[in-house]
Amino acid sequence: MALWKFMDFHSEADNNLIEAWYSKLDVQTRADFDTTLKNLSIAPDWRGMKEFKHLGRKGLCEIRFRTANVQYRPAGFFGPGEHTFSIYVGAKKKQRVYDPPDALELAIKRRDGLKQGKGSLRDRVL
Amino acid sequence: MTVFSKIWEKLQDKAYREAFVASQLKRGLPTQLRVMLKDRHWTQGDLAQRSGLKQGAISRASDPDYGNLTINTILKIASGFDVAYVGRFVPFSDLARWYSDLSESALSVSSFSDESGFIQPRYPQVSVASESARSSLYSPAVMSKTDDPRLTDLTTNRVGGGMTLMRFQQTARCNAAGGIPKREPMVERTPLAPNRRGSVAENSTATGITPSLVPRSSASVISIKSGTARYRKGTITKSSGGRLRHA
Repeated sequence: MALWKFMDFHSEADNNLIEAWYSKLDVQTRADFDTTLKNLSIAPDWRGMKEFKHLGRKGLCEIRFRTANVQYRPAGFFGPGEHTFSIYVGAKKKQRVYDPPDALELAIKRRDGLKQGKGSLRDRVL
Repeated sequence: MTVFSKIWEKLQDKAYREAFVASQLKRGLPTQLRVMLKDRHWTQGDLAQRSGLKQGAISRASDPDYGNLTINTILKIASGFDVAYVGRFVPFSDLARWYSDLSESALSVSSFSDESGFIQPRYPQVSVASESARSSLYSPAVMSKTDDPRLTDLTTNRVGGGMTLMRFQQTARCNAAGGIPKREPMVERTPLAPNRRGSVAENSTATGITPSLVPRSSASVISIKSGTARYRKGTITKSSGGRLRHA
């Protein structure tokens, strides 16, 4: 049984922005993303796991995996509630540059907007 | 949508299927390795020492992004944990089911020494305990109850406790021999001997019933024609009242 569940950020127009990012990935990256989320979902404690990093900016965290020498960094926050991680933005990183470049700011902005009723979170079935 | 139906939907795409298998293999093994290290409270160095590998090799094996482990390295790691590693081809439905039901406990594996303490052989030898259980099942106390001739019902061939007479005899024979009674047919067919008139008479002992316990009338009947029954000695005819009369 999964210990954690993941949620995707949906825009005000109810578009799943994480699924939109996911669907543009190549097939191996999609499979690796699914497997990475699955492996995180069964781990009680993510501290020390290579697939996860707490970035320290307003509680912002990123999920990390590499496929074909490309580093992928979907970012989000813990919550709502316990054992839930919400993904606000899909991104990749080359050296120190994110793609999209404002990925981390975008995640924070979306989370702040959600608090004001802009957008929503929906369960992601792994 | 369930986890299984979701992954099954994705597996409809052959390219995704291939990628998913690779991902499960390359990322699943480091995940399990990490779980097993945590279960044992081992460091990567502890496993390296037991596996005959460098700590760097264990570090790479624990990295879900590495993906270039050789079978020899995997076997050495399995040896370090004292567990088996089985690589086999499976249908995608098995993989999807495994993926759907995945949990950390499913990845925990006991070492051989941990499991050998309580795993029984698949086909156990007859032990002292089972001999004892068998003895109590056919104990003298049980047999003395069923051995009482007063409990024998000749009409139904049943003895005390609802056991058929034949079954009782089999049990008694087997008990005397000290063995577990084998299942036998309720009626043992023996060759039938022809009588003088060409008809056959069944040997009463063939039914397993002791002759002395069998009613005389049924034991001596050799043939029955319409209205007349022939016995070894004398003839019995049907009277006008419908009763049988011995001549």
